[in-house]
Amino acid sequence: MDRRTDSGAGAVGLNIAPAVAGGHRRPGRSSPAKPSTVSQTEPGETGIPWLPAVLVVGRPDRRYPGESCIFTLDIRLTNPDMLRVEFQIGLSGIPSQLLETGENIESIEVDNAFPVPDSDELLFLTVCSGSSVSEEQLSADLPDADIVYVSRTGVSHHTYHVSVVADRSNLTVLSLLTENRAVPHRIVGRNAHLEVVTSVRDWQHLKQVAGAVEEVHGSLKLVGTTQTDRPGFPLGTDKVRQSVSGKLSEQQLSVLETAYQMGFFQVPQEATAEEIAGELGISRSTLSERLRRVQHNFCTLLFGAYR
Amino acid sequence: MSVIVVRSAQQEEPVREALRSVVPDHATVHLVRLPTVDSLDSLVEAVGPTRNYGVDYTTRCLPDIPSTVEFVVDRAASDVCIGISERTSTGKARIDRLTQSLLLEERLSGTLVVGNDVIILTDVEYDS
Repeated sequence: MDRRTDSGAGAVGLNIAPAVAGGHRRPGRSSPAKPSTVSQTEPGETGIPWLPAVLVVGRPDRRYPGESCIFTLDIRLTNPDMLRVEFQIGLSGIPSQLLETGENIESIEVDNAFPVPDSDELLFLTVCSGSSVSEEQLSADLPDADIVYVSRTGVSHHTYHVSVVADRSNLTVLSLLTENRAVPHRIVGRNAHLEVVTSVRDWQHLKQVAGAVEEVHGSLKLVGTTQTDRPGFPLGTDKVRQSVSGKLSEQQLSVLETAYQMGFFQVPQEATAEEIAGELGISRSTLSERLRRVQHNFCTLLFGAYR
Repeated sequence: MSVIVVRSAQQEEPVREALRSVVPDHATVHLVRLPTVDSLDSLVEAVGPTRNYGVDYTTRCLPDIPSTVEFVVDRAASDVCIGISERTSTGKARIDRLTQSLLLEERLSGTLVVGNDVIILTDVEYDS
């Protein structure tokens, strides 16, 4: 199997074998295993060139027949297959302090982190709580951190954007990922553990990162893996998700995600409103109302407040 | 030599995918089950490893995860295929304890490929 040459539309007469994972098809086998997510890449789509390989394919250009042979060079960048891995570790640092001692704190997501001179870090967090949270309460829960600001998000009353300056040891998993050249995507504390999503180069890299994390955090539980040809959004760069975070309620996000996953927005539509409503256990009119509220909130984000 | 770990008697597709895309012709493949799977008879009958894929096969039951890891290491299997039985909410192939044990086993290295229905450890090499 050669997924890279498959996606290289226009490549003629020359196969270039992949140098890394993915070429596991054996002679005589007709239908090789395909990665579950690589199919998201459409032919001709270049993607983000991370650790790129260059394929150079030459062919005679028939527009210029004659004595000399003119070749068109088709040069494209491809990415070796990477692994996106989800794992869980025990709570530590600020997520641990907030989830274990903070009242009604349900989850803490790390939106971004910047180093501060010496050994501190400026952390941007989204904190979801079952009730109101005050800056005084957070200061009491985090005695060793400086609260820079706390702001409540738009729609969800108990979701807060919190910025704190704290010692870098409060988020060692992020340091471990970056030190070991893994791309961090998500770090969320909830249900008594930290959920981490990261991209690694290959199996060996996964073992290296897991070993480093286990050395500091004691144990690590791998949850899931998939193969991808691009690293995706690193932590702190998913602007759309960060903008939407807190602007749409959990209920609205759930409706939107279900409708999206069932193909409601596909052309042609793959699921009817009735099917979506049935999946969610709500009436069709309720579904319609919730989807319109989502659309309205999205428009508010894009164009500002209505009138 | 290849090892296919069968997670349930219903996992015909993972076994087919492994036989189709990983196991070379005329190779020997070990179909391994843990005690949580009662029998491989119906699966073998449905898939037909020799009839449909031209491979020799054995079936065996291993008592637990450590012995399955040791089996792989003892045989120095070149490929290990583990059926994907579940996915995470974000679509990732869910990794269970056996797969984690194999993935993080110090003595193994090679290439990890996530297929449609199987996680494949291929071109596996062993530290002596």
